[in-house]
Amino acid sequence: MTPSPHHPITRVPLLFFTEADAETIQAATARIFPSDELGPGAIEASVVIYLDRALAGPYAHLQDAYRIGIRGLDAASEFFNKSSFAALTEDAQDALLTAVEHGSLTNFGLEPAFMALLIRHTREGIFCDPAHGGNRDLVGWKLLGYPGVHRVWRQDEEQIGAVIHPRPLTTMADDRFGIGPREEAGNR
Amino acid sequence: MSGPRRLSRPDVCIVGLGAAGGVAAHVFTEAGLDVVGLEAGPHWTNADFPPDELTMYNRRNTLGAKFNRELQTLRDDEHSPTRPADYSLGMMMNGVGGGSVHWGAWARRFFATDFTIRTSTIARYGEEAIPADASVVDWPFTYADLEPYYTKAEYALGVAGAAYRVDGVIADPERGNALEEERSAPFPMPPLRSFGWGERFREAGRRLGLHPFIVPAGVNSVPYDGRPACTYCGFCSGYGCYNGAKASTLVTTIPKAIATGRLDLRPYARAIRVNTDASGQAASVDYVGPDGARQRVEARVFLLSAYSTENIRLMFLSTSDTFPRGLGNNHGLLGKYFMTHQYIETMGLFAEDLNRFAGPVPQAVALDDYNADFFDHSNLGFIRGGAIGTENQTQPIGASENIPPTYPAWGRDYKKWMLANWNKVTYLRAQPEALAYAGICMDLDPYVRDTSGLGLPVIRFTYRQRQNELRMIDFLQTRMVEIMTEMGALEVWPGRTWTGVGSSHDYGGCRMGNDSTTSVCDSHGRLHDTPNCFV
Repeated sequence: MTPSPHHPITRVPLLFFTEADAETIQAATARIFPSDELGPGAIEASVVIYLDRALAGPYAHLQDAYRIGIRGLDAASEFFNKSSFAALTEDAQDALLTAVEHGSLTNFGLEPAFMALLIRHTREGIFCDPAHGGNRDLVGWKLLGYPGVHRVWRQDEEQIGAVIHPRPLTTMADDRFGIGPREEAGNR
Repeated sequence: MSGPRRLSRPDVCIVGLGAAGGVAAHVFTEAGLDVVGLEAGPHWTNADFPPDELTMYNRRNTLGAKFNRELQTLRDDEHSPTRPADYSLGMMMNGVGGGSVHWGAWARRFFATDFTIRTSTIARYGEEAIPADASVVDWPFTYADLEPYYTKAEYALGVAGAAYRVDGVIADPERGNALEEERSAPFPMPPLRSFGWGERFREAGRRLGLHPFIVPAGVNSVPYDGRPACTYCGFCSGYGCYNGAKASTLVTTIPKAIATGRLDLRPYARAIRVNTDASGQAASVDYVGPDGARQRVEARVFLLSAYSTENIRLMFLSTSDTFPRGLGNNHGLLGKYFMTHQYIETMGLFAEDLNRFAGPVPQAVALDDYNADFFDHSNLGFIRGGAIGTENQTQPIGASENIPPTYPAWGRDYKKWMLANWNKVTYLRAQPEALAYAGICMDLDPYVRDTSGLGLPVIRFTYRQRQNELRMIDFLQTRMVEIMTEMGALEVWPGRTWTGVGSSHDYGGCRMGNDSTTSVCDSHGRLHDTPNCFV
């Protein structure tokens, strides 16, 4: 199999991950939502930056789950392939994540629930409003053909098979909305 | 609007300025009473509600900062281990307006047999039809008693809908609900506009001989009462409305109560105890204010209108020599007969784009042919039923999760399927009614305390689905597959089952009745034990 191309982390200051953690998470989320012939994936959407911001703030209660998960992915990679997770081939990364999903690597602290969390957060990082650090350059919404946040829709646009009228692909910021002012670390 | 006024000894103290307390505050102040309103959360403005899928109610529950630190627990029965509650419908929020801020705005009425459930069931099927473990009783009032108040509420909040019949005269048979009870007045506004997916549902329902209708919505279809009409942005259920077009008490009754100058609204005021005097009357409420200081409000009358589970918690915490087991609990009934709203889904994949992002949930359509007692239950093994309906509104993260369980949840194949189909997948949803059972209840968890800083015990649910509900869910799932197939689905699969407790759809725990030995409060919500305290 082709070795995983080494994607350098965008050079912005990390708030929660170490550089090594960010490499591991970037590699794992890139397998969950890969960059391929259909278009960009988790790397281009900067899911790792989304997650770094979330874990430093509203998902602070999940920091331990991520620390354990990252350590487990690297330890399992070291055990099977004498390599960090990020340096594995895509094929080996897929095999390892499948094993996590099936609960076959719990000896490494890798619970299926961690894989479910990573899948959930990868989707969030690709398809969220870019105000949260993911969906960079709106790659997620462009992939879908999602027309963005609009205050007004016309009735002929909410019909089955209807073509959406040309309109700019707008975000909350384009419409002068900020992130809700009261976001704080929760217990969820 | 007059400025805030500090009342030292009001006529009424309301705990919780949500859907119920927010309406009561208006009724009382309009009648000339002085009211102190204690609200545990903030006093929002419309600008606090951005169209952001990650925050607000649904995913991070940023509206529920208080609740997120007071998470509840759950056990199947009294012999089973306790675990965190599952919140399958999302968590609770706190703030002026309460759940009416983020509701999906289905503004429906109950049916006549909902109030006479025991009598009606026995008359049609015999006593043995009622499950032995259920506690099914009639309400202490009827639909006819309540009808004038439904009408008042529809006009006070602003409901857009099509009435099938008004005062016995057929009005809008095309869009109205043929099975609804008599109503004395038309809706104050015409229904929200129709949408493609909803019309597909209504056409299929009619072909099957059923009675689909446009669901009445607590949203302005036209400008109403000084608030603008909905612009169909699609960020509605699970969000506050930044336009004020959705009928929350935050933008309807509460501003009017404030304008009377007789409402002293205190946000970030967390009620922790109701104090009673030697005669058993409620005397005052203790609360912790925004600065953390403990304060006291004395009043003549008290209304406990916090969220259902928080009301029960406050009453359990209000122990005294007169009420050693808590307020309203002298017969050990507090927290009993808890019920939770159940939802089940059937998913379908269609050939064309559905464009459900182009409108809000309250543009809903439904049918009641399998609800209440509108169908023959003789050989079905359960009583009662549920509405089946569907809605507009989708957002991209949620859409990325609608994958058939047989497909991969990640990787290249996931990406390929999801990108091709995210706008072609949607749901039908049923709302199966849950019966009351003595064994399904709430109490205070003896071990778990909240992390709010107050360290108060959290609510513990004892809950497990029973045979009646499981059979009903099976039945409704089958009906939804029939309808989805008639609608032309290419592929059908069961969606999420939401039957968890501790969400924003909990009810019961404070049974109403005329007999003080078998109920907690009377038909006006007045506590039998403490007659100047209402729930």
